[in-house]
Amino acid sequence: MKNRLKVLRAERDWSQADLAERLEVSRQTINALETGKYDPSLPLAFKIARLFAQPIEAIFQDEA
Amino acid sequence: MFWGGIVLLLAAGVLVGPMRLISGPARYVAVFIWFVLFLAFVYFGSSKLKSDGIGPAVKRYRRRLAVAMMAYCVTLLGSIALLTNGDLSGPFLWIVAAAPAVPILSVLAVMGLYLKEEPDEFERAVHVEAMLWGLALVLAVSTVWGFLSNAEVLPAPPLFLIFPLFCGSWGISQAFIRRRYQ
Repeated sequence: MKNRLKVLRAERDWSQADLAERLEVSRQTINALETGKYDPSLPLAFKIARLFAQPIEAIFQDEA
Repeated sequence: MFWGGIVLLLAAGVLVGPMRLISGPARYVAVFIWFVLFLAFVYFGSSKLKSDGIGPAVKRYRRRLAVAMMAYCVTLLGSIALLTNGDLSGPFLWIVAAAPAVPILSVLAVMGLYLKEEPDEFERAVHVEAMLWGLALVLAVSTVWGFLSNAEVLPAPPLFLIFPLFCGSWGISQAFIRRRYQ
């Protein structure tokens, strides 16, 4: 699934490690999310949405 | 450096273990010392290997695993000593012979607890998939070997080695799974 995580992270000048720490996941998880290779569960998606103060559909785009 | 150390330790283990370089009771002591050294190396070495920062769930898993493996080593050596020296019979023989399995079974619980406690869902997904690959390899090897031993092409499979085979293939497939997400 495509997402704007990398852009949102860059806007705040956070490294992958910074975002990982804020979401309480590993840096590898952030990488897998940003490259779109791993889709987060609903709880993690909501956590990301809250962190960036944006709705989930503004961060993740369903390609279908 | 880390993997070189592992290879060296494994080679030393083969010399003391299956090759029987040392004989008598000293061999048991040597195997025990080797085991402790190996555990310590893996424990401290792998913490330095991952610069990423290890979560508390992994730390707890490693601590519990180290305790279980120490208990395994003690019960295994005790069981072997009792089986070779004493003439046991009846239920006591069963208990002594099966005793080394208890700490190994506790490793199953340690693995289950890790999956339950790991807060990172991606890590959990990687481990569950790696475990399924490990299970697949174990099932494949034991099925093929089972048919081969039915036809008396091979001796009966050493069933106690199924567990380390599972752990090994779990670890190796993890590396392949992680590469897919990079």
